[in-house]
Amino acid sequence: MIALGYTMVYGVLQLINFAHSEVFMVGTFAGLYALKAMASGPEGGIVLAGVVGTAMLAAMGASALTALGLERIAYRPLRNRGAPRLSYLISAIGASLFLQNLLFVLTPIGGPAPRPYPNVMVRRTAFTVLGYSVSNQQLLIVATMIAMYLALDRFVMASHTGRGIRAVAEDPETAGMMGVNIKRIVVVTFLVGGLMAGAAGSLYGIYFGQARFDIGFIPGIKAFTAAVLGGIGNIRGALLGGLLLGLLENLGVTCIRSDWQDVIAFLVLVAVLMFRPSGLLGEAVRG
Amino acid sequence: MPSSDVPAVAPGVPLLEARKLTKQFGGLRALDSVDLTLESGQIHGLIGPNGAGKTTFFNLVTGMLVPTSGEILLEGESIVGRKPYQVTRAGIARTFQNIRLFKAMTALENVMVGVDAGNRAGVLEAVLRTRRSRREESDAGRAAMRLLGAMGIGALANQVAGNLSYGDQRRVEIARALGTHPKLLLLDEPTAGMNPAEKAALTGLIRGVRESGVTILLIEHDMKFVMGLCEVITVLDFGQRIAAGPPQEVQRDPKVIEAYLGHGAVDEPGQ
Repeated sequence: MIALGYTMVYGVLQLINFAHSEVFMVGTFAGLYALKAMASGPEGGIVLAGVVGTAMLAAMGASALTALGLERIAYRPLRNRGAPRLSYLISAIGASLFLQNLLFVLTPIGGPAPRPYPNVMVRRTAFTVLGYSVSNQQLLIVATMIAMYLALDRFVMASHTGRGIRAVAEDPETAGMMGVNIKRIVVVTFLVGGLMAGAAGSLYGIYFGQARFDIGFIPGIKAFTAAVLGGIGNIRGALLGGLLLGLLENLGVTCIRSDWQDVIAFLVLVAVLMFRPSGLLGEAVRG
Repeated sequence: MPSSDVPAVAPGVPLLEARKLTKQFGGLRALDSVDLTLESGQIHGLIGPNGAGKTTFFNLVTGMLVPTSGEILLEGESIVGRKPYQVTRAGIARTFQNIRLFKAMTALENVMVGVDAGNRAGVLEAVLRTRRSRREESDAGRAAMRLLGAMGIGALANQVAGNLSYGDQRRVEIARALGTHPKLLLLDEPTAGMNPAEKAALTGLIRGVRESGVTILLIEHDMKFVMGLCEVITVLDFGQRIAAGPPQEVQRDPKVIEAYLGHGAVDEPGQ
């Protein structure tokens, strides 16, 4: 889901939004405080669904606002001046460091230590397939991911804004001349990317039980890897890349040792960049 | 005026007027104080040798480039400084010399991008599939389908644009431009790469578009095509307007023959 955010922004702006992992991080914090405000102990049934759903919406809102803020402050001024691509990258890294350190310094909210998530959704086995148990949390994550992916796919493939996004991704100049408001499309892209990252952030928080100022780093890089693996700029590719990367990591964990998980993710990134920079579903590099 | 059923916006006000339009690229004056008046309902040709400033003129009118000096008036109102999408929404659409379709999208989707210019449903509505967004979506699809049908390529609607033949791609481009409901359609070398049969069909198509109330300004190198289709012709050379008027007059203008048709053309009068 984080990969979708990377891939969409890249598709439209040819920009790797390295601050996207911080958009995700803000989502985990927003989800945490929303959950805390509503419940402190385990919940069940309708209440649980309501509480988790609301927390997810809060996280999506907070992340979307962060993403829009980033676009407005870190990127739009550069775009208006027609700055070179490198400036965007530097701006992205700067924004990323700023957000991380902001949460580090703001001790009432963040601080250096991880903040525990309230144990609202007690992990238990939902069902067992072929000897592997699937927890209720994993079920929630997969279901949300599928729902959000389907919504995104329908939005991009069958709405006029989605068509605008694809048109701008392919040829911004022509799109502008066909009446597409490019500024609006860019804002919408960041908004949608933020919503996805927020949902992912709150789920991540529920699953791993904590939020921290640097929590976005590893998921961010993995999402980037997934996006690159699938072919950056390609939404279906991001989904495929995410699934494949997860599969490879778990294969590696089973075959080697569990602490190799991240090593494998980065090996995949390096390998894709070396042998197939356009990714699995990506187009050949435009020349 | 050939088609009297075209509603005049305001009597006496031309649809498009360029006044002393100038564009300087560094030391090169691509367009030098060019005047051009386009009456509503005309099919107007813009001709001249390569590098005469024809495409620059199109780029200025559509807001892709900002003029160094001069004015562009659409129905008496200045459009200088507006963004391309605003110019499009004000009623000017164009096609490109080197076809610029969204190649990964289908022909229908390409045209729908043009039609979308008038749609208002927001992002949230699109995700929630509100009645308005669904209605706009199906209306856009129907409108785009009608346009492709009018161009004679309705059967190709669901083909990916990049896979279509050259001539069909040009037609999709015209349909996409018409999708924005223009008052003025700018065609940049519409016949480039077409065979004689396709050119003849295009002449009919362009006349049909004019009959539907759209004014047309076209850049073209095929003299036979231009002379047969256009009612008024403006000739540019080295960024300056060297002639303007009905085809027969322009054809006989010695300056035009000299600049555009070359020296040899004088020896072979009329064909």
